[in-house]
Order: sequence, then C-alpha cells, then structure tokens
Amino acid sequence: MRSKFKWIFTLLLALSMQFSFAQEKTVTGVVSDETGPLPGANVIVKGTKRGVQTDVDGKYSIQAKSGEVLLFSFIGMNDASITVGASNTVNMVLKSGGMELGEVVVTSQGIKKEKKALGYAVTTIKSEEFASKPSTDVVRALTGKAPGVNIQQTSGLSGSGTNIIIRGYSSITGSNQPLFVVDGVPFNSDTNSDGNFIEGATNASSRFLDLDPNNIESISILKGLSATTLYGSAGSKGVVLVTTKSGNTKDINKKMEVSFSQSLYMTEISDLPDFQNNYGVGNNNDYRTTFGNWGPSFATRGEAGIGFDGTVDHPYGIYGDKVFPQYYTDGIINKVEWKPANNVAPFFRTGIVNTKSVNIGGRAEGTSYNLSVGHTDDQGFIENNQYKRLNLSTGGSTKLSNGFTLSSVLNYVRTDKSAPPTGYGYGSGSVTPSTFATILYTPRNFDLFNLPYEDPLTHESVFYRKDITNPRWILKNSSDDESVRRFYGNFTAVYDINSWSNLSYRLALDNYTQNKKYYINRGSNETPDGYLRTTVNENTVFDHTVSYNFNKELGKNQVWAWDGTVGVNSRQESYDYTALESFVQDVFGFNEHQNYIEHTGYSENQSFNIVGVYASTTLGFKKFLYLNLQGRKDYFSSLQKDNRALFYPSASLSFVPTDAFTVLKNNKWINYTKLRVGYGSSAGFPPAYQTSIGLRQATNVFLPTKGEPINYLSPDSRLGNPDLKPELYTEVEFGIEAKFLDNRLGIDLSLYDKRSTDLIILRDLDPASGFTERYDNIAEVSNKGIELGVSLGLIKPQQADGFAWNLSGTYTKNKNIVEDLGIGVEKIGIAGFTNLGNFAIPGRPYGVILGSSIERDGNGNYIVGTDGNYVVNNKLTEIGDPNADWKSTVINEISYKNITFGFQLEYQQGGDIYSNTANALLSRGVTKDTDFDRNGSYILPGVNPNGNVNQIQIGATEYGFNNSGFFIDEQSVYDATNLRLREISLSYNLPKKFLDRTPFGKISISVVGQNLWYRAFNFPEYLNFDPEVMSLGVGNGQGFDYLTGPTSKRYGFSFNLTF
Amino acid sequence: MKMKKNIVKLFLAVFVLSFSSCETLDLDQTENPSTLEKDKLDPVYAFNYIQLTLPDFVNSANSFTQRVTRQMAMTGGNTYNNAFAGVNFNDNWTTGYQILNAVKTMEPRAQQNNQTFILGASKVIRSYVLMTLVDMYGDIPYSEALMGTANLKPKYDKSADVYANIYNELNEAIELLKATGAAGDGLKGRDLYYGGELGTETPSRWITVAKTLKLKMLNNARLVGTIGTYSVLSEASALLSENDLIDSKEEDFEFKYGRNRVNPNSRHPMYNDQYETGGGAYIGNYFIWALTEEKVTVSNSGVPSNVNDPREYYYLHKQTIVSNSTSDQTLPCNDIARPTQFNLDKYNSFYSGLVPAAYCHVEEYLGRDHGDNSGIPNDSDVRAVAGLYPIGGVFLAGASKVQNSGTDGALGEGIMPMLLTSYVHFIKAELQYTIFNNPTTAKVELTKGMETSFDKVLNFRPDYVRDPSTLLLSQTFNPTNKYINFVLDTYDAPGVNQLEVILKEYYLAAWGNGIEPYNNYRRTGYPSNFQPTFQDDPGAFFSTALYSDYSVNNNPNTPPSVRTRRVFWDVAGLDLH
Repeated sequence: MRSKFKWIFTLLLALSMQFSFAQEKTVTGVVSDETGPLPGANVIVKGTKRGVQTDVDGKYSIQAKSGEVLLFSFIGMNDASITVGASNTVNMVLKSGGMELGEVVVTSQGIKKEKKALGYAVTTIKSEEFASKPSTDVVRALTGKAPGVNIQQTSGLSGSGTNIIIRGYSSITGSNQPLFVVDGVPFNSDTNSDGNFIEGATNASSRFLDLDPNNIESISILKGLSATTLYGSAGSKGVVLVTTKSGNTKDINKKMEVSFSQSLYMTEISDLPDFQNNYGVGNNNDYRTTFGNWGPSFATRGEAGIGFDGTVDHPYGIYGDKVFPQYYTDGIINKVEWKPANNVAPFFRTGIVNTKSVNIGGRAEGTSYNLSVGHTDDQGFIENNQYKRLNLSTGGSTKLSNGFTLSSVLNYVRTDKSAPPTGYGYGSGSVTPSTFATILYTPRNFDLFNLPYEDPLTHESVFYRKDITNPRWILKNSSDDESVRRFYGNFTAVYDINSWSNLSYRLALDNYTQNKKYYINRGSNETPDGYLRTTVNENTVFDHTVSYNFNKELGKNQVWAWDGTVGVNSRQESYDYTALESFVQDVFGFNEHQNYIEHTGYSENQSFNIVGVYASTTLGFKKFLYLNLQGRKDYFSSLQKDNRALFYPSASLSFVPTDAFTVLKNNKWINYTKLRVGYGSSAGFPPAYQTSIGLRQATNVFLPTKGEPINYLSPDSRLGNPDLKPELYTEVEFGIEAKFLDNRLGIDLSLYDKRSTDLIILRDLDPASGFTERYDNIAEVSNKGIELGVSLGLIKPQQADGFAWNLSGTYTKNKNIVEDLGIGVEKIGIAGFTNLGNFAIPGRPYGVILGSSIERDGNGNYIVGTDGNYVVNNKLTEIGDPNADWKSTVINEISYKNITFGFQLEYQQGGDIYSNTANALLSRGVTKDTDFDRNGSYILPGVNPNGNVNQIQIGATEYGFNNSGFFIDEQSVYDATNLRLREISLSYNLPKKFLDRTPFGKISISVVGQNLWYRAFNFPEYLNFDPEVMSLGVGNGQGFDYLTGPTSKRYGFSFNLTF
Repeated sequence: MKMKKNIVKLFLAVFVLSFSSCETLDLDQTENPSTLEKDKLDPVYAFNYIQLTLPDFVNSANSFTQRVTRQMAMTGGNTYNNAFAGVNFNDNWTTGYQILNAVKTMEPRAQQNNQTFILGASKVIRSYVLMTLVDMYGDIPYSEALMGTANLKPKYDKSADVYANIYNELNEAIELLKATGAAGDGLKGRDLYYGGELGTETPSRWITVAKTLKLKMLNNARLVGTIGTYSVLSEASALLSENDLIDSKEEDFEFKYGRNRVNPNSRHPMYNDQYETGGGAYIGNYFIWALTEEKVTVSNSGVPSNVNDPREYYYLHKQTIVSNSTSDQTLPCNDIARPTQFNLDKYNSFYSGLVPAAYCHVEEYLGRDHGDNSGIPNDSDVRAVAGLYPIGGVFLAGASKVQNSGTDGALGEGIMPMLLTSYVHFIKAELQYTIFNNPTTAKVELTKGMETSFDKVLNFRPDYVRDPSTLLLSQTFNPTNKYINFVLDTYDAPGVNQLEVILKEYYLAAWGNGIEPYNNYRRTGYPSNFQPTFQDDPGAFFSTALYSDYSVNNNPNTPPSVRTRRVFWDVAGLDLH
C-alpha cells in the first residue's frame, strides 16, 4: 500500500503551505482514461490538505471552492489540473503518460518506483508471457525473455528441476540461484535432491514450481546488485519478484472480475535419433551380444554368426529353458530372425497437460480481495511421469479509518510428482537405476517390445545381456516420487504517521514439507535386492520486517523529491530432514518399509538467522535526475562473532536528458532517453555451521561373525574454519534506455562488471593435512556482460485493430572468469567427477570442462598409437567451455484485428557440452551417422609416436567404438550452438461486440507450441540431439549430458474467459 | 492524542507479532545440533574407526598394486600411461591420512586416560599405513602432516627420513604395549584383530606385529643398508635372534571380514565385487598361469607335466569351463592373433621354456591379459573369480556360476592379509639369502614359507564345509610335498636364480595382497617373467604410484607426480616392465 499513499502524501505536502478563503462546495465527477473509469485516481485541491481517491467506478467527491484548482493524478498517467468553476461536476479524462515515462516497476522490498528514477536495470515480465502456457513451470516459461537471465531445464520430464542464473555464476561452490520473493515474502526455491547426480539429481523439482503461473500478475527481475542491496545476502545472486494476483492488493483499478482459463497441451520427447537399420549387434562385423552395433549387416547369411536361414539364437536363450520354455524347442534354443526392430519409439508416449484456473478479484470501499484456485495435471512423455499441483490462494487488503492499512496473502500448495529414476548413464549402463541410460542404444535387432522384460517367476529383469537392466523393467518397477505441502503468506500492517511517512511491519512465513519416496523393486542389476528410501524435508522461513518509509517533495514546483526507507529485517531459515532407507525387499513389488528387511535412518536439522539493518534514499531533481543511496548491514548467526557482520553500500544515478533539455522535449526522433549508472554491493554467507565441525559418527558399520555390531566415531573429513567471514559482491552497472522514431524503436542496454571477492568456496585440501575439504574465503570471480533489449514496431497499425508487426529481441553476453583461487591452488572441482567435470581455474572461464584428452605432439598434432587409435592423455586437460559466447532471442508478434500470431526464436552461440548421448549412440553404432561401410578400413588423422604421419589402418568397429568419446573425454565434447523455435502461438480474442450482450468481458483462445523445432548445428546430424539438458541437476554444473532424460516439446491450446 | 494511541496500538501489535520472532534474532548459532561435538571423541570409538578403516586402506592400495603385479588384470588402459591417473589414488591417499588423523586426534584423550593399549595398537596401525604410503609413493608429508588449519600445505618429507621415523614409532608402540600389561588397560578398547569373539585386548600380539613390521622395513631397505641411523644388518640380526615375529596363524596380521551382506555389509570387498551380479573385476592371466601352468616337470622323454599348486581351487574359481572352443561371444580374444611379444623367451615359464606366456585364457579360467582395455563381452557369468581364500568365495574344482546376489561359497567371510606367517618366512629367506649370505637357511625359510602358506590356505575357514570331491582332488593330485619338492629341486638346480625362486613363491603366497609383490618386484625385479602388455611398448613401469589428484591440485608442495620417481630403497636400477 505504501507507494500509493506516497503519491497522495507527496501532493498533499506540496500543497499544505498555502491557504484559501473562498466558499467551499461539494464537487463531484468521474475520472477516466481512454478505456473507462479510473478507480483509485487521486484528486487533490491544489494548495490544501484536501484530497480523495476515486471509487471503484472512478467517481469522486471533494470539498472545494470556486477558483481553486483540482489536481488529478494517477500512476502511469500524465497529471492534469482544472480550476473549479460554477459547476459542481468536474469530469476529467487522463492521458497515458507515454510508454516509458510513467512506467512503474516493483523494486526492492516491494517499493514501486517510476522506472525512470531507477539507476539500474529491472526487467518486468507481464502475465501474458507465462500464463496459460504449455510449461507449467513459471520460470521455464520465461526462458529467453529477459536479457541477462539464463534459464535452463535439467530435462524435459514433467516436474524436473530448472536452473536460473542471473548475470553469470558469481559463487564457485555456493548457490548461484536468485532469491525469489513472492508478494514480499522470501520464497524458498531450493531444488532438494536426496541423491547426487549419479542417482539422478535432474528429477528433483525446483520449488518455484509450486507457483501457479495463472495466478501471477507480474514478475520483476532485479539483476544488478544496486537493485538488490536491500534484500541483503539472499539477493546477491539477483532477485525474482513475483506479484501474485492475490498479493496485488495495490491494483485497485479493478471491479469484481472472474477469470477462468483452461488449457490442454500434449507433451512428447522433442525428437528421437534417426537409427540405422543395416547393422545389428556385434563386434568387428561378427554377431556378438555386445552393447555395440558393429555386427554383421542384416543381409548377412551363413557367416559372421548368422545362420544360413538368416537367424540367430533367441536372445533369451541365455536364461535357460526353465525360465523361458517358450523359447526352447526340445531343449534347443529357438532362432529369431536377424532383422531390425522398432525398439525405441514405443518407449515414449504422448503426455497430456491439463491446467485449469479460476480467479476472482475485486474491490469495495477501501477493501480489495482476491481468490484463486488452480489445478495442473502434467503428464510426461514416458510412463510413470506425472506432476500434479493444486494452488489455493487468497489475499486482501483493507484501509481502516484510524490510519492503519492491513493486508495479507495466504497460499496453500499441494504438489505430487512421480518420475522413474534418471541416474547417471555412462554409455554402458548406469550405477544406479536409470530409465534413459540404455534405451537409446538398444541393439537394432533386439525386439524390446515383443519380448518379456521380467522373469515370469522371480520378476527379475531380463534382457539380452544379464549385466544391463531392461529399460522397460525400470519403467515398471521403480519410481522417484515427490510430494509437497506448502503454506506461505504474509501479514502486513502499515500505519500512516503523517501525510508523507508511514511505519510498516510485515511478517512473512513460508513453510513446506517435502516428502520423497524413491524405490526400486528387487530384480534389477544395479540394485538386485530392491531399495526404498523415504525422506521428509521440512523447510521454514520466518521473516520480519519493520520499516519507516517517507516520501517528500521539497521546494516549490516539485523541484526536489526525496523518499526513503529505513528498516530492520530478521529472517530465520530452518530445515529438518529425516531419511529412512530400507534394503532387501521381501514380497516383490510392495514398497513400504515394513516389507523390507534391513533399515537405516538419518536425521538432521539446522537453522540460521540473518538480521539486516538497511536504509535507502532517493533524491530526485526536477524529475530528470535521481540519486539513490542504499546500504545494508547483515549479521549472520553461523559465523564467529568477529566475522559475523558485513556492511555493504550501493549508489545509483539516473539522468533523463529528454526531460532535462527543452530541445529534446517532444522530439519526434528521440522520444525518450535515460542514462543510468550504478554501484552495488552485497554479502554472501557460508552454509550454516562451517566454523566448527563436529564428529563423524556411524553405528552398525561392521558385524563380526561372532559378536556385536561395531560403531565408531572419528574426526570429520571436513575441517572447520573459525576465520570464515562473509564474502563480498560488488558491481558497477551502466545503462541506456531510449525510444526513437515516434516510439517505434526502443533499446534498453546494460553493461555491468561484477566481482566476487573473499569468495567462500568449499575447497579440497590435500588429505595429508588430515582433512579433505573446508570452506574458505579465497576465491575471486568476475562477470562482465552486456544485456540488450530491443523493441521494434516493424509495422504500426493505422487503426487500433489494424495490421501490426512488433519485433522484440534480447541479446546477452556474459564473460564469467575465475580470477583467483588463493595462493597455490590450481583448480577446484565445481561439479561432476573429479576427473571429468566443471572446474574453476584461475584466469579461465567459470566451470571449464576438464577431462582426458587426445595426446598431442609439440606441434599440436594428435598422436595415434601403434594400435591405430588415439593416445589418451590422462592428465586433466581443459576440453571445453560450457559458457555460451552469447545468446539471443527474437520474438515476433503479428496481429490483425483479433488474431495474434507470435513466435519466439532463440539462438545460442557456442558453449560446449560433454554428451554421453552422443558418445554412446556413436560408439554403439546405432544411428545413421555410423551407417558407413563397415568393411572399410580407416586411418585416423594424426602422427605416430615416432613423428611420422599416421598410416595405420583400423577397422570400422575400432574407428567407431574407440574414437567416439568412450575412451577419451575430449572426443565427447561438442559445441552446443543451437537455434530453436522456443514458442509459436496463434490466439484469437473474441471481438467485444460479440460479448456485449453476454456477461463475459473477454474470451480468448490460443494455440501454442513450445520447442517444436531446434537444431544443434555441430552435433552429428542424425543424433537429433537437443543440448538443452543439465545432467548434473540444478546447481553450478553445466555442459554435461549423462543420459538423464531428453528434452520435450509441447503443443496444444488454451482458453481464457473473464466475466 | 489519537495519534499517540494509534502508535501505542501499533507497537503493541508489533510486539505481539514479534514475540515469536525473538528466536530470529539469536545470532550465536555456530554449533551444528545434528553432530556430536569434537570433545566427545572417545578413544575406544576412535580405535574402532582406525581398526575398521585399515582394511579399506589396504584394499585401495591393492586396487593399484594387484593390477601392476598381474594378480588382477590391468584393464583401465593399454599402456602404463593411460591405465592409471591421479584420480585413481584419491581413495588410498585419503583413507590413509584419515586413519592417521583419527590416531592423532584421539591420542591426547587416550593419554589422559592412560589407554596404552589403544595408543600402542593404533601406533602400529599408523606405522603400517605410513610405511605403505612411503612404499607406494616415495616422499610423503610426515613432519608437517595432520596439522589442519595450522598447515594446509604440508611439505613432503624424504622417504628415507619418514622410514626412519616410522621405525622409531614402532619402537615407541612396543614400549606402550609393553606398559599395558597382559590384560590390556581395561577400558574396553575392543581388539578386532586378535581379540577373538570377546574382543579382548591382546598387547603381546601387537608387539609381535610391530617387530615383524620392523623386519619387513629392514628387508625393504636392505639395498641401502640403513634406515636412518639403524643398520639393517644389526637390526635384522637382533630381531631374528629375539624371534618375536609372526610365526603362527594366531599371530597373522590380517583383518577378518564377516558374512553379513547388508546393513552392514561386512564381507570381503572382492567378494562384494565378484559374487553379486553383473560380473566383477578380471583376474590377471599371468597369476592364473603362474599358479596353474607355469610349473612343469619334463620327463626324460621330454613330455611336460604340470606340477599342480595345491592352492589352485582355494585361490580361484571358474564360473564356466573355458576352452578354445568357447563362444566368441564371451571370449573375443580367441579371434585375435597372439601378439608377437608374447612369444619372447623371457616371458616363458621360469621353470621350463616349454611353457609360453599366457594369452587370452589360461587352462579353464577366463581372466584377462595385462593391459587389455577392449570392450566388455557378455561374460559376467563366465569370468573366473577368486575362490575361498582369502575372500570367502567358493571352493570347487568344477564350474559354478556365482552371480547370485552373494549366496555362494563362504559368503565373503574372508580376510584382508597384511602380514602373514608365510610372508615373514619369505622375508627371512630373502634376508638370509642376501645380507646374511646364507642360501641354506634361506632354503629352510623358503620351505617354511610354502608350508605355512599351504597350511593357511588349505585350512582356511575350517568351519566352511568343503566340497568332498574337490577336497579329494586337491589332496590327491596336488600333494603339497610334490609341489614343495619341485620348488626345492629347482632351488638346488645348477644355474637357477635362487632368489627368484624365493620371490616367486612369495608372489604366489601373497594372493590377495598386492602391496608385498609390488615392493618385491621393485626391490628385486622378480618374478622377471611377468606377462607383457597386450599392446607392445607400454612405457615405463610404475616405480611409484601417482600422487592423488587431491594433493596435486591442492598442495603446491607436492612433488611432480610422475611414475618414474623412486622410493629411497629402490636403488637396484632394475629394468621393470
């Protein structure tokens, strides 16, 4: 409520010094804009304290005298004034203040400000961009829409996690995910995975998935530190400010309105590889039950292991005639035809995504209210993948006559997700159960869908090799489920101290319980006895804020404007975690702990407090120059006393030349320009309890044949660091916003240079120190980047509903460099394996991929060994940089009358990815990429160890199997440059004239498709691989595809109705 | 007035709402409520950790040493350069120093409590870990190690200096254990090694271990003649004449595994690997060959006949009988021509040039050749696995599949051998043969070495019911005296390299422990006929293991991690392969 009153008070104040003696009367009227009455507009008698707001119908009533001047104002509109004459009725039509001039954005701590007063970049995204879209994940729906914001899904499975990084990674081992603030409440957006990526971290949902996109009014993204200072350390990685319809109690421009939307989308795997149908399983052109398809061609007869009748032994002959008597005749294994099978496509299905939402909102007599119900049922593209969500939300605000304004928002969310496990697949299977680890390279001849996947008696998995689990078996017999019950909301009380300041208190609560259940029945290769794990994770954020806010105009004619806020914020974050693991399933297929024979348990809880004292003030001069100063000091409860606090300031300046210089005013070519410069800083804190580490404890670790189980205690392998202190982030930002050519062309450019110093990292130690790791303030990381947003009215309509073509685009380039890791530290593993993963290396881009490489000679030539294959260099070598050179989005919106057609293209230049999909499919020889002459011989380009040019011939198997990245990591790294059609949509709004006689205010229907087409240019053509996956899960790992789930495409329609 | 009233109301409201928020203002929360505080480190519990982690340490050392000494097949690469990388040594380096850190951390409290048994036995374990680290890596952090925050970049001490310190530490351990008295210190430091089922404390056994470890160190250092200020000759003489060395099964320094499969999995790690599902690590063809094929007697008419090793069915077990006609499905090397270097005389049998080097498979066992990194065939239930000794597997002359979720054989109730009676006899034999220049006594020790090895292996896990037909077979066709006589005859034959005869027997007796053969090979060059790598020209042998990536990446004092570095005692300048 604050900002609305600020405006009133500002004006009241400006007028309070004057007196008037004329006769008072009651003046009434209606304030409206082009579209109709304006509720909540301010009407003030100039030079007095008298002021009112228009009601829901835009009507007002005020005491005024003849000759007095009535001032009318409304956010986003040009102010207007009229002198009271004889008439007691004064109506006023306010004009829009132009596209940029009056645009109001939500900033830090929910303070609404005119965009032109901001010295930093804020991107606001309207609900049309994410509501009723195929993606039920609001963040994922924003992909590509905001420059500087990098959003990436972990996989295309329903309910899978989403990574969001703003202006690059600024921490090395800490979280780089931004803070979510929903209706003023810090909103936990963690991705809670019980296992690491080897078990399949991509399956864990990111908790912003709990937000219903249809109940969100708008999203503001605060990117720079000068924008986020007031949020303290939590906001150091950027802030995503979400205003829900329920929380948007400030939007009083609304009569009671009911809106309803229904959408129905299909989801499918984005694409499958193009498989070759000429060669079957084998090696060196011989039929063998290998993993690879380097066997004889399907035309082979009477040689290479293929019978004269073109048959081979039934693949399930290996199980004997007791298990599968049907595959034996008189004790002899049956034969099957040597031919290709359709054995991958049937694994996938078309899922249906069904979303409904109803929203009721309105306002009456100083009270506004909103109710919203949303239901989402999102089926994935494979069996047993489903995500269901119920959102209930209510909010309201009331202004009491005693100066208090009370408001609150309450939300309840219930989500239930199931997905099969998606463990790390290494190209020959997986370590833990994994749905996608082997399916794509099922031998071309193996008829997966016409053969059983389980032993009829024991239910164990059966496959053509006993050392791989049948992927269909995993789909039927395992699951990784997650259910969340979440309550969040806030209570706010504002007391107006005087006309220009108020005191506000807000209590916010976000509490969720996430239950996870992971099981696999007995009978798989990886977990033969079965396994069940249930975990409960209760996460609570309590947040209190007391603040004093003021907004004053100084001097005559509003030359100086001064506003500010001083506040104290205390936040407690705590979580309670309990896990119960059970081993050895008793009755097959029943997954409750009592059906398991062995159990272990684990629990922990932690809690930390951050108390921040902050102040912010903005001084405006003649509405074209604004100086903003901010500072915050945070105290963190989990550091030693001397190192507990950090103060960090920020300052920014905004200058609007088009308002400052008369020559630029009302200029047809240059409509608006704003220059801004900002300095910001923020703190970062380590995870709780890192200054002193307790003991490692384990019970029942060993059971001697005779005697009791043994328990032990030992020093932890992690070392506490009592000197740990907060890390510091600083950023300088410069920007230009401008409108040209009668507002046809708009640009919004930001340049920034962000640095993280004293950066806290979990560093590895030489174990000879007695410990293997500790948190330390030793690193420094920089991010320098350009963000550009462009809008272009390519074709402007002649009339309101004429033909229009608008283009908008974003361009993002970020250079993310690890500057320093402390003395003597050469590299630090960020994510992945210690010998193949993302690393921090001083002077190199963040997260470069290190792994084994091809040995080179002094001239950089590849060395080919005496066996004709490349020689591996096992020393960790930089083999890729996962950071994209730049990214760009172009959105087209073409509208004519009531039809709007739009499409969004996204392009990524560069960025490497290590792909196990690529190396597995290529080295297994299943795609058309390897449909080459298998009898030929091949010579790898390079030199032999003696320096001569390599002339050693190798066969097709060796060429394909040994040199596709299976043995040398470098060969699995591809440039991920790609172009995609992110979204294409066609929508139709029913014309108003059809609706006039109906109770409906608006009816629209849209047909939308997402990710319908993409191309990763530097990948082998027939893999049809979409590099937009993150197999290391949400976090700091990037550029790895470990066969943990492909991307999806979605298409369908949505229907929206308001009345 | 009204204003004031409102403000009072407001603050009242804030106060009430903040009542629950007092806890959000608590700024002193540095201790993790979910972990035990550091001062709760009871030495008895820490001693459990130390005892239980030692076999893990040895197992991680084995994963390298057994592969370069051909007990197990080296399949990670086809040259020494690509077979191992720094990452392969992370486990060993970390486990080793964590044991040392646990010892160091609990010592002050144990001293306070006068828990001399725990102090002494832990020091013996600490010394064993340290000497293994030196033997594997050469220079290691010692004087500046384990200092935590005070020194995160400990310097690397010269291997000779560390050795000398370990030798002193063993003397200190002996003093502590002597001071304990026979009953131990009474604080229930459970002895998992010698304490039997009651877990009582047995200081005298640990004294014997400490002295035997000294002898092992002296033998390792015999070519340089000294360990610090100690003369190898005089120290060894003293130890031999005192004769408080491991010389009975009860004194064997080994970790005894349990048979519990899950929660906790208490079985031998190799049993875990080979007796569940999906196939385990391949056994080295050379070892199978040396055990089953290498020893032949040639009759007067020139017909060779095998001298069977009585330990064969204890050491190895075949899941399928493999032959030249075994399907290419599981034995692709049948199709690949024998590499020419395998035909060189130097790789033939030590005993008879008529037995050429192993290739592809040996007898009926499917192992793997040294440095064969080709794809994995569909052979998970065809590969040979380790038998009853020492991993607690199957004892059976015939074939049986063991991919049955840990239900076969002695259920993994094996041992991790570290220093056994037979090893000690071979060490004595080598010392007698070399520094004491006494081939006759060496022969006596060689004989005892074989005898005690047979005794240990053939009577291993007496509670495990042996297959009667296999038992009969192994007794009838593999009589120990025939084998021993063959070896002794070879020893006495003219022109035979007697030291190699001793070390070959040590090599065979050490099955399950790679550390001893790795030291022996670098010290003596024996066995000299190790199978060559499948790919010719594998590059230089590992004179030492690579340093762990963790130390290379995080400690600037780490010396260059190259496999051509040598331990101080490795001065023979041998050409190893």
